[in-house]
Amino acid sequence: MTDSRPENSEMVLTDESLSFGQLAFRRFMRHKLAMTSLVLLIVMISAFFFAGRLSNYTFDAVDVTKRLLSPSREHPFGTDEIGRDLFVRTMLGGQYSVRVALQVALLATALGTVLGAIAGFWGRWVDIAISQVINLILIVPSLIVLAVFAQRFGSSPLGLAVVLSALLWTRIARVVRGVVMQYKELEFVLAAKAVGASPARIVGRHILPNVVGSVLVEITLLLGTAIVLESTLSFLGLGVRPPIPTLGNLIQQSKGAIDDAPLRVLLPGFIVVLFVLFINFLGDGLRDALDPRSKRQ
Amino acid sequence: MNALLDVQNLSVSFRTESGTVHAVKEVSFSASKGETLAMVGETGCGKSVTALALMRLLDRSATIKGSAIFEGMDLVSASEKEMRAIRGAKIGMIFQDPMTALNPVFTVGDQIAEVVLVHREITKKAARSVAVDMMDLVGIPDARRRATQYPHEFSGGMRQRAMIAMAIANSPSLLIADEPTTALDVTVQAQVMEVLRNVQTAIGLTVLLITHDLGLVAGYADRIQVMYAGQLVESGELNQIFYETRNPYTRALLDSIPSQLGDHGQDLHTIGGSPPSLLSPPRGCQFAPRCRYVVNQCITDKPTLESVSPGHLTRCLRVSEIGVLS
Amino acid sequence: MLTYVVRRVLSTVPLLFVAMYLVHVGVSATSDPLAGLRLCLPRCQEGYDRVVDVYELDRSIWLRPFAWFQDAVKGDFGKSEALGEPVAEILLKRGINTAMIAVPAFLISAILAVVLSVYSARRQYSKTDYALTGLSFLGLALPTFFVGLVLQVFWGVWFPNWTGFKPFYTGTMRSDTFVELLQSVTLPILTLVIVSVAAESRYGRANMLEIVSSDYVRTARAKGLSERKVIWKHALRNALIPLVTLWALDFAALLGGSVITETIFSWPGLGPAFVIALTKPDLDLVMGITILAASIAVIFNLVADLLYGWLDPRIRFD
Repeated sequence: MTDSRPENSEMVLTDESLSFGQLAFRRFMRHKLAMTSLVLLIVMISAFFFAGRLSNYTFDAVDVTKRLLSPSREHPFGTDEIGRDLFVRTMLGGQYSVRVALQVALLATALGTVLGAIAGFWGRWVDIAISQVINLILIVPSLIVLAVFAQRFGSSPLGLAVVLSALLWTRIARVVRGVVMQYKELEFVLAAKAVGASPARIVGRHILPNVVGSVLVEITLLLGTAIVLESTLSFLGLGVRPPIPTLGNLIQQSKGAIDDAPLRVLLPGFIVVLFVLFINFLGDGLRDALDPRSKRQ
Repeated sequence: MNALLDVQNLSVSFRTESGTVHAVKEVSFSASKGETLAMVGETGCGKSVTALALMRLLDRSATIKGSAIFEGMDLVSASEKEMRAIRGAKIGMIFQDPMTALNPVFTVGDQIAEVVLVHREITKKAARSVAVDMMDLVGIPDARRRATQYPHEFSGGMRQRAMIAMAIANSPSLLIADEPTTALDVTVQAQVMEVLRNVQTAIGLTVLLITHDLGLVAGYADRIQVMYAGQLVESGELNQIFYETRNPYTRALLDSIPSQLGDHGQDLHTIGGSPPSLLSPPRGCQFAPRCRYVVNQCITDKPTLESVSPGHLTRCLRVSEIGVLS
Repeated sequence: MLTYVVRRVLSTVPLLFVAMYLVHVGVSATSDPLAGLRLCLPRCQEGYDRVVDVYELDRSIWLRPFAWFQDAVKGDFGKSEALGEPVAEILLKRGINTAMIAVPAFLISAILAVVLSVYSARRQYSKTDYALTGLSFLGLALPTFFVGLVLQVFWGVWFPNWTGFKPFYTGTMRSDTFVELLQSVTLPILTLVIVSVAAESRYGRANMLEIVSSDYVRTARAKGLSERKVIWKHALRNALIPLVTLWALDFAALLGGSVITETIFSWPGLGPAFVIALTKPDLDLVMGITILAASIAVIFNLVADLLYGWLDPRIRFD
């Protein structure tokens, strides 16, 4: 190409190009709110799993002489109606709630990714069938249907996780399906096909890596939703049952004393709110970091 | 000279996260009644921003300085209320992409009728009738029926014609056309420009044609203004610009038009490098880094617009030395 | 438009039946009315047989929905063991109570969401905008039960302790006078509204911002229309399109939210009945409520689809 530029131009612009991962990480770091939330989340989850050890009491140590005590050094959160230490119980409750949420995330992601990828990649009848199932699940009021199944199968943490996953896989599936459909038409996939790669290889090596970003964001949202659903169902008495404590059923048990000790009732709920808040900030930060096109408001 | 529009030292800057962007720097020009004035330049040179500034359609992060006298009123300092009376009535504007520029949920006829209803005291029925007449004027066949259709039922060329109808429905004296054919097929481009030409003759319209397509300009403009990095670098009549250009940038632009005659086997001309940053503009001439005729003085001194013959202005420090560039 | 309506209705009807069928099978599969009775066999054989008969437990689970449907069409939804009344009556009586909080909550949050997102779009970057955005972010993290409990504690314990007044009822439904009804209804509705508005306005705002910077809005301004007309006519009409779908989904969520809210405020709607019925198990009542909820959700979805078609001309010509 004939150039109109002088030979000895000093105006040479150089810019080291960063890899996509590096760029994403930089943007994420810039999103301080997300970083703070991540740190706080880690602190919180660590507290659930380890802070209970600091206390001398176990979660089921009943002592009716020490009922409904206010917070003190011995009992940082006070005691409940039958004298059990609330701090240890709350921490353990947090543990179980988080465990359920993580199990849900694992199961729902596994199921959702597979079904979503199948639907997106094969299209036509398979896609229609899977999409109709997804639509049906999404239309029907989730809490009510969940309640029915949770009542029967959800009295243990794992059981509840399975029930919740049976509903929440649809969200992952939709995202995966969308991305797969978007990418399968792209040229590098056609190139792989031309070379004779099998469908599994195409999906696994070429398409799925691009899906990871969107799925990660969806998983954070899923964690928040899972913990809310778990605590709601347990609060109604339809989820995890005593003696295993979760944040939800802790509230349910202390509901009776709401007039005398309202904060006691609200505390586990407040912890759920904090968890979801941090998770949402984290998810937002991830979304900003991974999608270079999304504008920061 | 009966100048319909007289722009003096128009400057537009934007507040952004990274600093202040100077998109338009002290641009002055005027357009007389009935003429077609083309503003040409690369993407990002500030021509669209100039047009939007005249209509005061820029968002709140923009600061506009200078003056733009139109029929006795200064568009830069006019109140929002005064501008609303002008937009769609005294000045019409059409945009680049007619698919996204028309509201998808209203019928084409309703959207044209709307601009009439806003500015005139007439009934809805009369306004719709005017809309149909306008659609006829711009050559949309079966206008009465098509007025009840939605934008997605129109082809690209038809949509642009509808936009033109909408812009001239109130017989404005000035029409600003911002890249009116860029989003259209080549064959349709010619049709739309013909419509524009006919309409112009029919109602005595002054047209401010904004485009990067010099070929388009060659067929329709009376006078041309070349912009680069927010500044006017050359302005003159069609022949002066095309055959007697005195500006290196204009020369480079003209050279980059692929020619059908001769040139077979030769490489395509491009202008190497890229436009300067509008955040921190270079000290001297904006075009210096990419200019074939650059000397040391160009990097340190800023050139000003000088007249080389009546009606022909150029911005180049070496204008007297290098003469006509061909 | 008519073809679109017909097509949508025709495709929803089978969906409705499939939903009802699946729900019936699901509920049957998860409940076991014979649980307690097995232990006392053979003494309570008569009672055992009666239960088997009433719930058709000897029939295949896949065939039972049809029997249920046959009865339902005649208006017989079975009898509630827990409450001792015909299920149909319970659905009606308590359904009205639930509607008393669900419907106003839906309307209020829908209108508020629209108003808030328009406001946010017009006054972007203002302090109020930041505040509202922050609040809606917070609202998204609040589970319904938490909002309900906080409101109950605040208006039921703290406020009366501080001021001696108790302007809202927190634990019953009083309806002797209209004012009393309002007092009872306010907190449950407020709970539902807070949760809904948070989600809807966040989405609505993002949507509205995109629209406000679109080309056709710029064209509308270039025509000389007042900013009010540009926003409320041109922008809003387009913004409503996705909002309508959101409203349909939200209504389904609202039904679930009512269960929680009614339980907290002891509101005599379908919510507490549902929870109690689940624990008994009171099969007919659970069935009735669940199928009713599913059907309402499907129908609402259809309504949203039709509205969508009315609002967006591009959809009608599929």
